[in-house]
Amino acid sequence: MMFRKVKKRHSSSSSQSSEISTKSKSVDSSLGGLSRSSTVASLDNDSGKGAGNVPSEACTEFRVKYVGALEQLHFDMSRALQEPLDLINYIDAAQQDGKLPFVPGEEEMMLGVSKYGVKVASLDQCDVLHRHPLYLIMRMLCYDDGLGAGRNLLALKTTDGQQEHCSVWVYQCSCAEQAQSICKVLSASFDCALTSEKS
Amino acid sequence: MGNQDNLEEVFVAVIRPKNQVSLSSKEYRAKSYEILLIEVPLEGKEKKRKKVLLAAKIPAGGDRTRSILNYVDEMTKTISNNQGLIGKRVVHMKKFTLNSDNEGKEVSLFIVPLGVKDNSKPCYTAGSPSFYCLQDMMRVCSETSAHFSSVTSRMLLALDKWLAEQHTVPHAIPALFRPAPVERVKTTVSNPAYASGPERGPSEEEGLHMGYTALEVRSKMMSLEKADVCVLNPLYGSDLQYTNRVDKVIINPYFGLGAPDYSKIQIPKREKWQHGPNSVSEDKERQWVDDFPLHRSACEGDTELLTKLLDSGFSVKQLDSDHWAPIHYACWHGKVEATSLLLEKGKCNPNLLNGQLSSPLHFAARGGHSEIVKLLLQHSEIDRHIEDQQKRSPLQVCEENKQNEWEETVKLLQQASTKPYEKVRIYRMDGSYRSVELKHGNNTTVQQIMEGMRLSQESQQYFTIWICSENLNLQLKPYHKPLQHLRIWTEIVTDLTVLDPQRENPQLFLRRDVRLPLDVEKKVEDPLSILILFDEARHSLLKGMFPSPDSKLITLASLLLQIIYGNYESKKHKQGFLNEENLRSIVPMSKVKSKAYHWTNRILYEYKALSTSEGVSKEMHHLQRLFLQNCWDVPTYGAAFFTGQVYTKASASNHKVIRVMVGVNTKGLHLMNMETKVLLISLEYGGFMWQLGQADLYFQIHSVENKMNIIVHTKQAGLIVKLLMKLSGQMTPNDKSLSDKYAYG
Repeated sequence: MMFRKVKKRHSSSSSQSSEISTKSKSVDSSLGGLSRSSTVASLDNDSGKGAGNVPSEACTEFRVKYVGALEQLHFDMSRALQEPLDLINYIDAAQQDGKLPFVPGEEEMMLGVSKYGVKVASLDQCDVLHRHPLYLIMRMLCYDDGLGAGRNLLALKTTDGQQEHCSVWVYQCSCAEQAQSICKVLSASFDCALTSEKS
Repeated sequence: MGNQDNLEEVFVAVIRPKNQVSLSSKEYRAKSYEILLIEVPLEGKEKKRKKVLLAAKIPAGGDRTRSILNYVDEMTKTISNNQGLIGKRVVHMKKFTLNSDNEGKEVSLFIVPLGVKDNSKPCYTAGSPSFYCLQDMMRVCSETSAHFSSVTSRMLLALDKWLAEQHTVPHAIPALFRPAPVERVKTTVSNPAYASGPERGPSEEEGLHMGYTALEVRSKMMSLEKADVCVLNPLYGSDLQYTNRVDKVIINPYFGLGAPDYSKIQIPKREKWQHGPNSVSEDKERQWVDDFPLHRSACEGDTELLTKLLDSGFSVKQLDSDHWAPIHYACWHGKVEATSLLLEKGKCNPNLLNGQLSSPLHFAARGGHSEIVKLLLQHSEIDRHIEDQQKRSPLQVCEENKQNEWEETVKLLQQASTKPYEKVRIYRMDGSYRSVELKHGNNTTVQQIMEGMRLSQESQQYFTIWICSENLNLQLKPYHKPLQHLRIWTEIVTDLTVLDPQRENPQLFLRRDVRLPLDVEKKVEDPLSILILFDEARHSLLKGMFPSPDSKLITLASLLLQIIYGNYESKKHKQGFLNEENLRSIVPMSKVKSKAYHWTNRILYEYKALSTSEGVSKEMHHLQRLFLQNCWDVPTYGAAFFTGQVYTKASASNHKVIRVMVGVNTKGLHLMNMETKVLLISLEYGGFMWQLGQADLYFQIHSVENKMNIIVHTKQAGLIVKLLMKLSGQMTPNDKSLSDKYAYG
């Protein structure tokens, strides 16, 4: 999980404060429309504009904060958490039990999304905190933390190679738009992986 | 939903805040909350009722959250216009053990938070639950309270405690009452590799994603994880044996020889660090062999090559990259013949120090090379008291190291200390000399020699050691080592003159210190000092260095007659008495042939007058002092003389070269024609300026008074200017370090 793959792709732009720093085309315009079969359930009403795919090699980066993780949950739990609401409920309960913090730490991380998966690294990209290979990502969920400040949390449910366990990773986004964008880019990445030349 | 056996009994505490503010309060107040309780009749007593928490039977192992929320919904329909209250979530608080009747059975208490109390009027229905202020309940609640069932009492107490705890945790209370997940979820993205879920078969139409089954999608994604390029070590897993074959072995040749002489160890120069450790030593060695053949031949004792190299003019003084001279290698490695060749043929200084201030004798003694020690000790210029950087004598070094024939060496060194010292002749200007012991061989300093001259303390101040050859006279400084100056005299002559160094044979002289002020000299009364000063003055006079009017020369000549021949006797000292030979001893050389014959009458006359004069003491030192008195006003008295050339423009086209003597004394600077000894110009300090020319090859003098500008070309320009500065008082003691090694002290 902690292997280093330090590619300083956009070190110049990553220092900008803009929420999306990428060399790829603007995410807003290119990712608004998700492909027909992509399994995106957007409860907001902002889908259905534009069309297109993420360039296959692009890695889109976002600044997020890391809340915490619930690791190595038994797979039975994984089934129980299949529905998004169950997952939120579970995370809420874990927070109430003190197993997961309500709010993230101060440090900002760089969350990169590409067809290889999701990578969370320090801002200088030197320390990789997490790397979630695309094929192990089960679900990404974006929801309001409900604490009144309008913060959006990003929950990432992953499994392991044997599908025996699952883990839930929680990050806090800087704003609702960013959270939406991350979901869109990931969704596009799923599609992209299928159309990828490499097989 | 399952049969009765599989039902689990749970207690549900439905609570709601009375207002929004209480959610952000950090302090727990029970009165901020309301709790849902049901009143049931007290068993046996129809009138009395007690309150209990909601208790539900839900299917065990099912979705408890949903079951409990449904139950709460169902139960509250009666109190809110048939619209059940929807709990935000179900939080498991604690398990309680039931009392004796249900032995050991555990039941869970779940908390179901609701939204803030609304203003709608609650309608009460008998048998239905209703909200009570939590504070009111807690006031009457105790383990044995009759108002509640005992389980409810315990649970209420625990709930009260739990809520208080939650209030201390930041965000816990707002989180407890935050909206239900369904109100908060925004976007969800699921991976098509898992989307269909395990229960759905891949054959189902809906399970396909872009025409792929979930399994296919997953394998496609997995392939992205695979490496593009893989390089394996071809030797990995082969049966090739690992061998630790050694390419090269270097053994420290000094191992076992005891503690090293750290003064010998050199830190390599920084630029050589860049090479690998092996190449440095190899390169360095090869370089050394190429660059320093004489060192190498001395090191190896190759006398044939050594002879050849010495013949072809290699310098025995050259230091190599380690700051060693050839003789150090010869002595270190015990090469007797090489040492002998370097000393005799190469005329190497036996006391030559290396860069770490060790001498050949130290090296030979350290190695216990008795033959070499013997050879060195026999050398006339050896300094047998020489010390190294750590102030150790060769004897000490020998005894510390105990190498080879150290016992014999020790004996030699001890014997040497009883041998008489070599001596050096220190001449006076009248040709007499004193032999002075060279306690430190050629390391003996001017100061040590002056101490050996056995002069009185007083007279030591007036004189010092000069090194003089026919045409070059240099005054030495107290710390100079005159023997070493004698050694390198040819080099000094070449440096400072254009003369043939072979014709310049140097000797050491005791002479007047050029810095001696006339005021001090005038007070000298010591007869020996007067004699030495007189001898030097007479010598200068006869050499023509005191250019003076005829009358002065005649007076001085008559004084010399009195001093040499005693009182005038008319029979002896007739006209013919002053023949050329006798004249030579009383008048300047240059005047003997040209003028002196015309002076004889006048000289004899003054001689006679002096002899017969009652007022003049005929004591020798009085007469000598009288002679000196007459010399003092000569401009060039006490001057150090240098040589140089002045170019004058005889006509527009050709230059005339005048060879001049440059006299510098406490009075000023004087230029004399070298051949005729005519005083060309005499300038006193303050009346002229001087400037050293480029490369110290000439100096310029400029006199405002005489409107004169003269350039004197001489290799001694540097010395002259320094002496001018010193004697004119321009040079402070701090500037002395600037002085040249040959310069005046």
